Amino acid sequence: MSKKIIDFEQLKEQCDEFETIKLLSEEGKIIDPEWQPDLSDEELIELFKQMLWSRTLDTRSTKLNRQGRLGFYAPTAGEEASQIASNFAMEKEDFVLPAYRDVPQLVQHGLPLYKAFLWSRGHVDGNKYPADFNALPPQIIIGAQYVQAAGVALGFKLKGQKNVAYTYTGDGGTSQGDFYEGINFAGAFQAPAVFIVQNNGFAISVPREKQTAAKTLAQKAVAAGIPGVQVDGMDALAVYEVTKAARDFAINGNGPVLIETLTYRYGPHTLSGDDPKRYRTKETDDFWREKDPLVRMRKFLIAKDLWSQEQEEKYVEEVKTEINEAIDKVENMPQQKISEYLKNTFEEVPANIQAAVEYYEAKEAK
Amino acid sequence: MSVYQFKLPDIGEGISEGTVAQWYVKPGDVLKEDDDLLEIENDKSVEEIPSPVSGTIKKILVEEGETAEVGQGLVEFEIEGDLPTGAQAEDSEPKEPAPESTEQTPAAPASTTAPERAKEADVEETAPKHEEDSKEETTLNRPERTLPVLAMPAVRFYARQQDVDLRQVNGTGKHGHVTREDVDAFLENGPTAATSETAKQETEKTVSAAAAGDWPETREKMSGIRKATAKAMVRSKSEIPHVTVFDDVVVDKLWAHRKKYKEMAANRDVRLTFLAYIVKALAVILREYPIFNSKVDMAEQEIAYRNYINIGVATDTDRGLLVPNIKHADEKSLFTIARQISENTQKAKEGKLSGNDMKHSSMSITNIGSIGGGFFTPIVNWPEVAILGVGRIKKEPIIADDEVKAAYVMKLSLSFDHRVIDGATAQRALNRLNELLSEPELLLMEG
Repeated sequence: MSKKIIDFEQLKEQCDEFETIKLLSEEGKIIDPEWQPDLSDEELIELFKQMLWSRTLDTRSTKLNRQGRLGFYAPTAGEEASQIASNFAMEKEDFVLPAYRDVPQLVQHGLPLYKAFLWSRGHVDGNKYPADFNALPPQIIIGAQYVQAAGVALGFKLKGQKNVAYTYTGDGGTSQGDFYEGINFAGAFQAPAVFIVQNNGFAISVPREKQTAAKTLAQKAVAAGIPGVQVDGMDALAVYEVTKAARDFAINGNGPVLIETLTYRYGPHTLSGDDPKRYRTKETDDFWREKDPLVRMRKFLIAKDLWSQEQEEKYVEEVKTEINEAIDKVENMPQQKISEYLKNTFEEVPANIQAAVEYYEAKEAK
Repeated sequence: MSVYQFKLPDIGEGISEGTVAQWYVKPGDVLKEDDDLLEIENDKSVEEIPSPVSGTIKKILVEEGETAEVGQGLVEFEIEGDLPTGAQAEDSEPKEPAPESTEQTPAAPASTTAPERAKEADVEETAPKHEEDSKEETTLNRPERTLPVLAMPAVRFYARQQDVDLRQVNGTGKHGHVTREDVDAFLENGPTAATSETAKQETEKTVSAAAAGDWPETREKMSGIRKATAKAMVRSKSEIPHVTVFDDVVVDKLWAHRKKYKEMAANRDVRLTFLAYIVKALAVILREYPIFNSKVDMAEQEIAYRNYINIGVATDTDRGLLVPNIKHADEKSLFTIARQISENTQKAKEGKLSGNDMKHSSMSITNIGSIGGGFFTPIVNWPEVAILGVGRIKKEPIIADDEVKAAYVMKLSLSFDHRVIDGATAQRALNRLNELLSEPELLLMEG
């Protein structure tokens, strides 16, 4: 018997080095005494307000959907730290390529809320963005904006612009071919991209363990030769800190970063009909509710005397008014016409589409 | 003031209908936007729907337990000021099936469904054909080709369970989607049953429209309850292998017992009926034979036993057949049961039964005895697994101690689901029921 050259079992373990970065405890206390957030009091308040805004928008959007006043909606409650705090680390000139659940980041990045509602209602105008607004509409196809994110990032690099392209997908998205192509391409060209994987544990109903044999999603960065990091996605300060560092790293010519946020959505995958009670237990729900990102951040701010119940109530009312104004605006706008929709598709209209346009215009004129 | 009608929104992609599981409001209630309004149950889940407007509930259009299609009005509100312009504006025009199907294939608008073709034909008969129209027909015709059958996964699963080939079923849903009802109709009547849009259109027409030739017929739309009954019966009959066992019960003692206490009951405002005794006796059977208090879950290959005893009583009303149940019948006295039967009957007749009054039934009783009849073969009230049919009680000759004598005899017919209940078990249960009803004092001991 000669010497054993290779031990596959051991090789399987080689990627277990990923630590989860966590900075704020569930009690709202900073865990490492040697670390302090690099944010002013005003910025800390603003970060929390954006998260509260997102939670309020989620509650209201769910109702609007059930009333038939919004169309497609993917609930965001539970993912506020992952979504808002990562977006908070970015600049206006950075380019966001969101997925379907990332409407809050898009609006905080500058999209008027009523446009987001139009998009939900399937109106073409919901996808028309001003030229100076650096974003693409939310991508419904899983992971299908990852390759484009690499391309946009390469564009910044070629132009010598100190900005990043940042994009989001869920845990399920990391099983897609586009995901690997995107991170590999960005790595190969050392393009300034920040890839954020929001791991909420379920690809619709498929648990994270059944999607891949990989122990973490952050480790998928290893094969592409780029840094990967796992962060507590219910901890706004940790998500902010990591994303900010990733952005700094990328704009300084060091190439892309992959961030995995460990988070949870309280609601269903989308309001299109999955029933989470069929694939998640109450125990799992409770486990994550204990980690709620808003509760944690609120405790932190109240302890610093930066936030109060009265401020919260007042702000939530303001957000509700903002939402009401946006939905009123959308409901008073003309309905999407089929002819407009058809005209939107081609610059030079083929004969058969032109015939269809005329057919519908005649019909709509009646 | 204006009237706002709230229509069932598409609360899940591709959902065509939903059942009203619960109303949180009743006419006259004043509520604010986003207050709880109702609960809708569909293939995928149960959803709470908040109110889209502030106002007063004027009229509920779809009762609990009834099914509404997407776009169908559920409730009317009286609201301050004008109607919100955009809220569900897409449904403000009468819904036609045709334009929708054309929207799906914008490049081929001439591929209209039957009713629109028929309509176009009507127009053509009365007015000279427009040149434009004929151009549409020629340039935008879609080539014929075989398309895959459209059906939701739940319907496909159901069809597989029922061994139905979906290709043979005529889809009446959106864009020709095959619905569960289509499968049921197919099971009931074979390939001809599934009505095309044209046929559906016809049923909506009134007498004169449908009448033709020497043998005219009159058509009317099915009521909600009639539709629900038809659906439930087909489902039960097609899914459950029914067997019915019959028995005569000599009820002289029961007759005497009731006679003795009827007046006392009446003094307490209780109408003591034989039915009350039967409910009481059946509660004992369900305790002793829990399989009668189960439901079959073929998907999971499981039998689910209910840990409570609620007994349904089929109630005949002007609007149709309803089956409210007596909750926890095993824990109630004969008088209480009798009182509740009367209350439920009253509520059923007034149309005041709630979904909850009819849900979670263990097993049902259908009593035609008060009208007449003897033995019959009742259909199990799905998802229950058995039903007890009660015929009339009348004096019949019986043989006791080798002598013929006259006695009061009750006719019992017990239908059961042979998937989970074997014939011997059913007969034993019926024997026990026979014993309890012929010796009513046993009910005092065991009821």
